[in-house]
Amino acid sequence: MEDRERIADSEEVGDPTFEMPGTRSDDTQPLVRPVDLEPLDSAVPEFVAPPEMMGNSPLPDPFDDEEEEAQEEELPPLEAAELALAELRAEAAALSERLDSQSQTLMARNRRAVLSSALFIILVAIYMVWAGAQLKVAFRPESVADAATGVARDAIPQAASALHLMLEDGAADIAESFGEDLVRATPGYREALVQDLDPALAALSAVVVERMYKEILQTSVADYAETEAGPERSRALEAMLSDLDLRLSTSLEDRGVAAQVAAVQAQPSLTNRALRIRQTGRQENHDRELLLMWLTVIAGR
Amino acid sequence: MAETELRPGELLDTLTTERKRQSRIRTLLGGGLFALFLLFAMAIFVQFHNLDTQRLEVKMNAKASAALWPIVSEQLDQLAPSAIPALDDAMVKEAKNLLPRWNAVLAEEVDLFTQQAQQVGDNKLEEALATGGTARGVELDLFRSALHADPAVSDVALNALLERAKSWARAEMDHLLAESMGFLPDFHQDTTELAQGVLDEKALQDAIMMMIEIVNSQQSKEG
Repeated sequence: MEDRERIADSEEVGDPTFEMPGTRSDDTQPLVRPVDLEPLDSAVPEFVAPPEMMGNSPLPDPFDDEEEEAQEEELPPLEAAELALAELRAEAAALSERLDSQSQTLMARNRRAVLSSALFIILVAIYMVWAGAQLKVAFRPESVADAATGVARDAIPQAASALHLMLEDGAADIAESFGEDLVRATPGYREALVQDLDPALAALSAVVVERMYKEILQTSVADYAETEAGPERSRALEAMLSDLDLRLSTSLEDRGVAAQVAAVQAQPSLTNRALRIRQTGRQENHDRELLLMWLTVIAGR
Repeated sequence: MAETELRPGELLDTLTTERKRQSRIRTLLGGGLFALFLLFAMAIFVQFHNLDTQRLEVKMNAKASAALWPIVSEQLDQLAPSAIPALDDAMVKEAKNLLPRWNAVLAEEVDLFTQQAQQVGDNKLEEALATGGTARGVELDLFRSALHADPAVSDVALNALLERAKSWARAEMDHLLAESMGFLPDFHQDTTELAQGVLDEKALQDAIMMMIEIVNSQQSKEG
């Protein structure tokens, strides 16, 4: 670019020291000069700019591309290389500047991202630790029981009023369905009673058989062993059996055996509960118990 | 260009490195958040898993007894005076249809119960006799020998003694559990009289208590 300016300057002022290439003594002068270059104010045919060059510029550019290329083509290789190098350096500098700017922006953005991510993760972690601590408190049996009790306490009056309406308005339906349930439940109840008696019968038979063998082995055999065949032996056998009957009839009165028998009699829980209900019947002050029994039956449907 | 400034190639490397770093930051952020949520979910699961249910039950019972039962009791007291008469009336009306039908079913069940209870009693006695005979085998052999010099004669006497004792044992078992084994037949007698209109409403109310017990026990059994 500097060379170009120098050339232009020399043309404009009509430098008298100008020498043709190859004849000059000063190497610092421009290397290229057009052959018919004259001062602008000389009587040379006026340059007529083509219409396309008459845009905004009032004067035609003396160094249009074609001329420039022509001049560059005419530049010596060293100058051309220097020119290209200069341009490359300028482009490289611009590129470096741009890349540097992008790098700086990205680095700054990454630094901000690291900070904001770390902060975000710390905040989330703090929130989770807090929530975990709250959950730990909430999962304590005392807290769960408190919560459930609170809910139930609030719900009881509403449930009671709903129950009241249901029992009063639906009594006929309840009674009818209860009858169906009763017919259906009776065979199962009979089976349950038999099963309920099974262990008691097993235990009682063990107690009774133990006493039985004990009394048999204590039977006096002297009379029977000495008798001959015939009526006398039969009488001796009958006497032995009568003696056995007598001892067996009192064999369960022993205190230890009586306690065993009492324990056996208390075993059938279902039967004993039924016996107690049948024995006591319905008492005046049993309304609440009866209501609870009804509610259990209704709830079990 | 100054010597301290970086070349485009180096700057490109820096840019690439920063872009990789940016990607790594995004990955780490996502991974970190995922890990945190995973940790949180595991913590909740562990809380659920380690919930002391027995202690919770104890606490619930204690709370219910202390805080809820007075309220429930009060509500039941308010509910019973109106609900029980309504249910009684409904059951009295229903009894007219129910009792004949149920009494027929109960009659069959009483027969079955008696047979099965007798059968169970017989089986248990036989098992006990066998067990006792084995346990006292040596003593019984000695006793048999002492009964008579002739083994045939002694066997006759021993068998007679065993049969007599066995009858006693079976009768004793029936006697000692008579109340338990007689419950269902006795209750059937009550319902038969109710169905025939012999008993009054009080007897019906007593029988209803037993009916509720029958249904209730079966519902409990069925879970």
